[in-house]
Amino acid sequence: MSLSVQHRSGKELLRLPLQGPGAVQTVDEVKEALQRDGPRVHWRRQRLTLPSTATKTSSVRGVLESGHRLDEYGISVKSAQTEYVVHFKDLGPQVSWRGVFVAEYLGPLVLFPIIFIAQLGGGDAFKGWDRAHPYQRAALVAWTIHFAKRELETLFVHRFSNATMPWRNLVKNCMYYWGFAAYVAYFVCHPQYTPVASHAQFWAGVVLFSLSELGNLVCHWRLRQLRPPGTRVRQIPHGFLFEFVSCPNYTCEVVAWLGFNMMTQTVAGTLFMIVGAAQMMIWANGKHRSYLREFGAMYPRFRKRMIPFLW
Amino acid sequence: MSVKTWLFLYNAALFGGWTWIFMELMVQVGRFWKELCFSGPAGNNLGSLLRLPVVQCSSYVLLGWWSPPPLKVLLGFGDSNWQRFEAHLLGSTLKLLLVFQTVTVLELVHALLGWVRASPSTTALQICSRLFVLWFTIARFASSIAQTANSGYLALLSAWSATEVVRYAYFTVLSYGSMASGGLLSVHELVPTWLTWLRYSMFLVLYPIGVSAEIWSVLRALPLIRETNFLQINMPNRWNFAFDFSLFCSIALLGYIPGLPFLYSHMLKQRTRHLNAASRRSNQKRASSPIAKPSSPKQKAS
Repeated sequence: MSLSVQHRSGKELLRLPLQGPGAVQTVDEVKEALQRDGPRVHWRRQRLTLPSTATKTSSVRGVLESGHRLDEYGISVKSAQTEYVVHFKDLGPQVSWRGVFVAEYLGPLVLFPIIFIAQLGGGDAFKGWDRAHPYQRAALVAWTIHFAKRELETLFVHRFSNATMPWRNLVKNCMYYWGFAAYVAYFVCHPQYTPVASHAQFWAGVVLFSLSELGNLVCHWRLRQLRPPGTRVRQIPHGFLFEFVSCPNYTCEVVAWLGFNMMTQTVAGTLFMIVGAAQMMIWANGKHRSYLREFGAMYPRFRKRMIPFLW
Repeated sequence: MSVKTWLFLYNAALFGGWTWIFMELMVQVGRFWKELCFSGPAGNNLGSLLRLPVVQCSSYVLLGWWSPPPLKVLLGFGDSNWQRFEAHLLGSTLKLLLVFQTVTVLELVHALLGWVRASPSTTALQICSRLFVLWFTIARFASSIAQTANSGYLALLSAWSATEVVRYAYFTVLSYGSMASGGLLSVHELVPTWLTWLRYSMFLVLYPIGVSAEIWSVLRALPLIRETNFLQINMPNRWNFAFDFSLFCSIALLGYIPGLPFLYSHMLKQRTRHLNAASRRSNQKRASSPIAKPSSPKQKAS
């Protein structure tokens, strides 16, 4: 009874016993053995998958996650099979999720005020504040509140399940956030900015933005309560907007940007909202599906993905 | 009408269209060649072909035809003969090119509907970049381009049309076979090896020519775009939006720097994969054993 860890090409990297002395029973033990005796790659960089032939015939998922036993993936001494194969991939250098989040939100938090001061005050912060239209000041405050809130949540509220991601994501995410921040700030903080004509629209935007930011915070707080510190536990969220949709935090985020755009009325901000909403819809779809897969009939059938009653 | 029939008809129609464009190009090049080589007192017998001026003229046409625009400038292709030829070519093929290149938007629809295996985002990028070059840098400024030497149009047209004729021939055969066999046969059982070879080899030469011609066209159009304020939106307006098309073009040009080596190496990889599969297939055919052949693995046809 043994477990053969191979490259996708079929080259064997390490053979581990499943019985007797030194037998491996969990995914973490396999990863540690690979780090020690195999290709000497840190366990966080390792991705272990079942061969596609094994996943086709059964309902088990292909990726061997840390913190699980091998028999959850059908690798068991009790079955008749004597030889198991697992594919190994080096994911490359990793960075922590928390680090990526802090870096990507830092850009917008810093760039918006810089562009505000540079374009409206010619480098003088107080002059910029005085020269700006009140709606531009409101936009600066709203933007800063949003990203300061995101930073604080990253540091003190979120409990991440996947500890790391490939470092390329850091570059990609930062380019997205920093680029859009500069693009939106350029127009919102432009000296020739045209404020929205209707006060009602502006104030409706303010209300929508504030309520959504609060709702988003409540959602994040409730998600935190679902996971005891230091674990990777997943539970069905209940209460508040979670009764209507699987991902109300995304719904709130999109509505908050809708409010921001009602306050400021720029094409750039609208583009930022549309691209963000599209990305969040993809994530919401995935999360909804994994809830359904994990909890099956226990998951409330009434719940939609992101848009109450509709989607 | 089933999807397979539609795809076959579409590919056949585009093969026809691009062949038409390619033939038009051939006719124009042939006319220019004849004008240049045989306009003198020398007859068109075989002996005169070997005479020095004829060889010179031939190499002139061939070099001018196949070299990318910057190289042409370096080699001094700027005389009135050449300019007249390029202007003439622009007049006779631009409309056709616009029609058949714009129709390829349907390919994006096919990809979005999942009728073909190509990824929608890659297809969108390819089609949009071509339409952008064609409509906004060539068609928009056709009259002023016709008056300049080395407009890059010849290089662009020959690279695009030669690639597309072979590509659509490949897809026509493929979609016909998949329609007729009901999807039972794989790519390399349907398409003859030589066609696969052409499809995955011509880009080695044509891709650098085509890309350099595209870049050249955008660069040439930049001052014209600035002069005419083409597609320019200025602040202030109530949507708080501004757009500078020449800036957009400059940024798009920067995209070629990482894009070019990435796409070229991607195509080299595809070439190895497809040609290996095709040669394995033809070896099997040659062996022609009475034992049933194992079907070759299905390849992505993009």
